Amino acid sequence: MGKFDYVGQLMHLPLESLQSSEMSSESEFVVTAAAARLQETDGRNWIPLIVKEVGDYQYEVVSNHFIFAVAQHADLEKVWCIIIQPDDEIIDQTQFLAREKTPRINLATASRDMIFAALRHLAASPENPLKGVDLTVAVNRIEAADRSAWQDFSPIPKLKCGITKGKKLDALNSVFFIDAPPPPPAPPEIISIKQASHEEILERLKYLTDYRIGGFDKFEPETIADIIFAAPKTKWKSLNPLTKLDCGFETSHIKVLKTVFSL
Amino acid sequence: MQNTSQIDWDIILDNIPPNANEATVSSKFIPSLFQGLGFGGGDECPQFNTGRGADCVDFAARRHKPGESSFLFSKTNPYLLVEVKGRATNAGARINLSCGTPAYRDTQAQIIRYLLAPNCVTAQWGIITNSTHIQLFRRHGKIVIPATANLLIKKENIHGIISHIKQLIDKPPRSLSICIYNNKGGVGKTTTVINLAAILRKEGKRVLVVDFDSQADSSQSLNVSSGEVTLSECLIDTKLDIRKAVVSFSVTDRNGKTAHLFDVIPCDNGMDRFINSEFHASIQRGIKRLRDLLNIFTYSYDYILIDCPTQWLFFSQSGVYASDVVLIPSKHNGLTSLHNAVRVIRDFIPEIQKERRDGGPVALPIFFNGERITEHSRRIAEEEIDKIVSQNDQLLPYFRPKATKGNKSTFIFHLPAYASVANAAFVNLPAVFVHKTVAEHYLGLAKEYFL
Repeated sequence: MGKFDYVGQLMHLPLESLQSSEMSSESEFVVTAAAARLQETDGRNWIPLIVKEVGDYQYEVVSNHFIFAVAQHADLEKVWCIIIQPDDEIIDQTQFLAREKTPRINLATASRDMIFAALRHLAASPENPLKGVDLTVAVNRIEAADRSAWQDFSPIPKLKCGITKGKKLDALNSVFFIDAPPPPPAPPEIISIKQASHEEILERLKYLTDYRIGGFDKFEPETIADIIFAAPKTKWKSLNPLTKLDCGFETSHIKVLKTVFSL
Repeated sequence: MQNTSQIDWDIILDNIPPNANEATVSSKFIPSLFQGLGFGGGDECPQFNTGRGADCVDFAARRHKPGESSFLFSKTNPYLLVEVKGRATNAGARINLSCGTPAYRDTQAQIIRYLLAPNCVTAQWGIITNSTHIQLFRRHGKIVIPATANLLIKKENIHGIISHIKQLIDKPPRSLSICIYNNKGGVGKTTTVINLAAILRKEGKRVLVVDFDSQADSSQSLNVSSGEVTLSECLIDTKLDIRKAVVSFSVTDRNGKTAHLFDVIPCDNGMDRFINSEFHASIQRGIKRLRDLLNIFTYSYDYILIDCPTQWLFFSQSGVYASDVVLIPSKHNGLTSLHNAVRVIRDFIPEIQKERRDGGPVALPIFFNGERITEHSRRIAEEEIDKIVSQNDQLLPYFRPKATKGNKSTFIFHLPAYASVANAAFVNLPAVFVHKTVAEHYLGLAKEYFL
């Protein structure tokens, strides 16, 4: 914001210099009645329109569209506006504050309280898309699930919390989004487990645990690297003996280990 | 002739090594620059002698008109000068031509000197570039001002830069707008505006005076009143035609013959309310509005003089924003006017430059207005100026305009006061038309700065 910017200032702009790509969906009755009250009170709109500059002497209404509709109906020549910075994030913010848009929260990181509040908000809407869902059960299961690696809402029906695929799951879109973590980088080169140094073993195990691949996030890479490195491996004919070490590996883990180790 | 969009700037810029010296930039960048600006074969000439000593500008150019000899052949009347620098010196040291660097300051001084040299009186434009940075300067009489910001050349913006420069040099503005401003009152701003306008008119120039001071001093001194529409209406209503706010200032001689002198956009009663900041809400684009309004006169007047009030608020900010140069009257016997001049140059004008983003406006050196200087007051003023420039050497050109590395000149232009100057306001006539000596002094001022 420059010193001489009119951004943030209350401006009295000609109605004809304003345009809007969105329409207010308020009923004709509300608009007409509000326009009449606006005219009765000197035609000064005390709640301003929020506009962005789209060219010299040209503005676009970004929020408070209702007031724009009323001002037009009241035949105002000029209308009080606040010019805002035309950044998408700021426009979003004004729309949230004007209740023209519902803010969404990141389900991957949201707290229990926020998830519960969001579900209650959905359930309280007139069409209640979560009809029949026990919200307490739902929030318990969603909170307990490991949401950090979710790419979308598809794991939710698997939680058996009453939020099924279809209308219920889709309704979550209006209050949640998932900021999916970036995909993991390419794995380190496959290396012979018999010849690998301690450092090379640790590097590969760290890759599997850091990027939570195949349930490896529960392992402690330093500890199992020590065990694997110290184990006598010369007689091994496959990676299966790994399950016999004191690492806690099961057969399912061997498949994952094969992506970074060979014999 | 190819236009700029047909030039493959990606290849041209790729072929200039990061350590290109001046000769490499001249051979790999400059031909395409000229081509992009619409100059054809024979339109440009390297090492053009400017006529000042042995000074040679790297390139001079003039477009060839049918029936005229080519510039390369005649080597007279250049239109555009180009001073080239390398991206690095011959020894490989990088040359940084960005604003504020010593290399930039030296190159800027060089192009100004060349544009004002005897063989370049027809040159209206000057470019400095090292193919990394480029800036266009415009000459108007004795004034050289930036016409673009000092731009960093990139593959993504070079087309835009070249076509913008071409647009400017294809249709050079006629006018120079001058804001007469000092943050200190009583330095004779209005007297300067009126008499400078009159003397420029006497020199055959077309002049418009804009009274942008709600006190309406200029309008009252000249006894002019509003035209069909008023300036304050135009500030608010974007559909009004500002040309209808222009009134003529004419004088009638003893024989009853009326002569038009210059045009005025007078202050009107509606301006007073803009002192109240609530009314600013009706002025779209805020302090930029006046410049937008005056833009239409760029091609019809030689000089647009803007009279502003003292305080650094809407009126003065608008006046400075609308101007190419700021002329700062000061008083040698009032040290506050010197310190306020420092504030204008050091703080206020850079604020506006930041907002304008085209390098303008620029401050002119201060001048002393009024009262005969006694030896004692001269000494006090000089000591104060010494203090000012020793604290900030960037202020030197504004307070010691003639000083050079080898010459510590303390010259500052001085307009002496005459009772007749003040009295002239009562007869609604600029003093230069009443008093011959006064006219001489204002002619001196006009010649010192502008003509």
